[in-house]
Amino acid sequence: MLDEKEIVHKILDGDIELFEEIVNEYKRPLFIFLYRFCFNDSLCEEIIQQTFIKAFRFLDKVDCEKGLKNWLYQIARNTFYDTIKKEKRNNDVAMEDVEFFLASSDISPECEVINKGQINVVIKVLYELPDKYREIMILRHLEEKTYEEISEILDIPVNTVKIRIFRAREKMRIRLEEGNDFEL
Amino acid sequence: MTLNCENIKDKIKNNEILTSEEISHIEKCEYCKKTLSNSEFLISYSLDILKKETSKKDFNIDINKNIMKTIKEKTLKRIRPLSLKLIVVSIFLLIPFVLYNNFINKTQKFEDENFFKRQLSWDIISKNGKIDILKQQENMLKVKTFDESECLIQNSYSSRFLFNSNTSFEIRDNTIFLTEGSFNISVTQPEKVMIDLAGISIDVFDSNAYFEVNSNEILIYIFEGNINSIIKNHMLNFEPMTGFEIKKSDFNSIKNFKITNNFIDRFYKQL
Repeated sequence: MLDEKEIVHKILDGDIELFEEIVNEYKRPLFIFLYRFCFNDSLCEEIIQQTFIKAFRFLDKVDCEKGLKNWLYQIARNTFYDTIKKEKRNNDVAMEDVEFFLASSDISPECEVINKGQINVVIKVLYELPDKYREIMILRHLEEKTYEEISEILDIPVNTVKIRIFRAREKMRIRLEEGNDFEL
Repeated sequence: MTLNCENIKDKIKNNEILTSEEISHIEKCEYCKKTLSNSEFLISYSLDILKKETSKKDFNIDINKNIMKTIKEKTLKRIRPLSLKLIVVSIFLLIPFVLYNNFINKTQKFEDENFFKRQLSWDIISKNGKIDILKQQENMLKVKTFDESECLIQNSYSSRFLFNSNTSFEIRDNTIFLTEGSFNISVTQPEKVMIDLAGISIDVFDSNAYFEVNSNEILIYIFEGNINSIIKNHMLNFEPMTGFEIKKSDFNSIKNFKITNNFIDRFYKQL
């Protein structure tokens, strides 16, 4: 079984069929990551394809020591914003896609004191956050990335990551408390 | 209150991710419920729910085929960017060369134009012979001699082109094209003169040089002065000469006239 580094070297040497192994390995995590960004299957599919094609094109630039995963996340994230920009969408995340996700998903809190409506409101608040706060919350709390990994994906210093996460949570908290519907 | 509660509180304050066990604990623990801000807990709890819910998302899209097809196509096209890069690099390498050549050509053209203006004032002198001006344009003079007489073209800068006989040549810009026969050239001022003899280029010569050019060999008689360079290696004969006098004629009266020139007589005796 070849490790990632060997696969990359072999692909660069011309064995392009091996790239399918990378696609198979990462297509699902990338899809989930992108789905958490936009809740739009077709957009995710389009971006994943572009992501892998870009990855193949620039494979010689990957730092194999750091691994492919975060590099692919970085490409996917940048491709997502590029695509949104090209499509000239007003909002990166269409709220109707969020609404559709919430309506179609089977969110059933086990916690007695929290109901589905409250969770839906929190999720909506998350997706109403500006891009930089929303993406960092997704990376931290949904993708469970470390501060260092987030720093690498977003290409920002670790301290900025920490501050941004703090501010994102603060914004969410303030927004929720303004609503005043969250008494346990 | 337990240590676990404080840990959870710290984790929330530090924006750390709560485990499912910790969330379960908060749900059950009265202390946590009281001390943790409702919204803080709600955020952590909701994000956890969202994480679990999105993780369940089905992924049935078969993208492999499309990706691999595109990649193979792109791999084939990789040759093109490479070629393109080579072309771009070549162009960049050529730019300074082209610019330099352009500059040189422009300079040369400027010099040629100036030089030709001077050429236009050349006199054509024939000794006992005839010269037919076959073509005369602003930038070209085509002349042919018909007999064994000696002829000479001389410009106002004392550049002299001496014909033997049956010589046909063209002067275009600063280049003399010998089409048949042979002729002698004398340049007595620093001028740029180029002789093209059956495709053999003899480069610029300096001043005060006197030449004879034959189609099969090149004889250059240095009157005085230097030759700058000769392209291609040919036999060269150098013979010191002495000065001579030439009576000039008007450009437009070239038909029959004599050159009272001892030097030329002597010159041909040597031949």
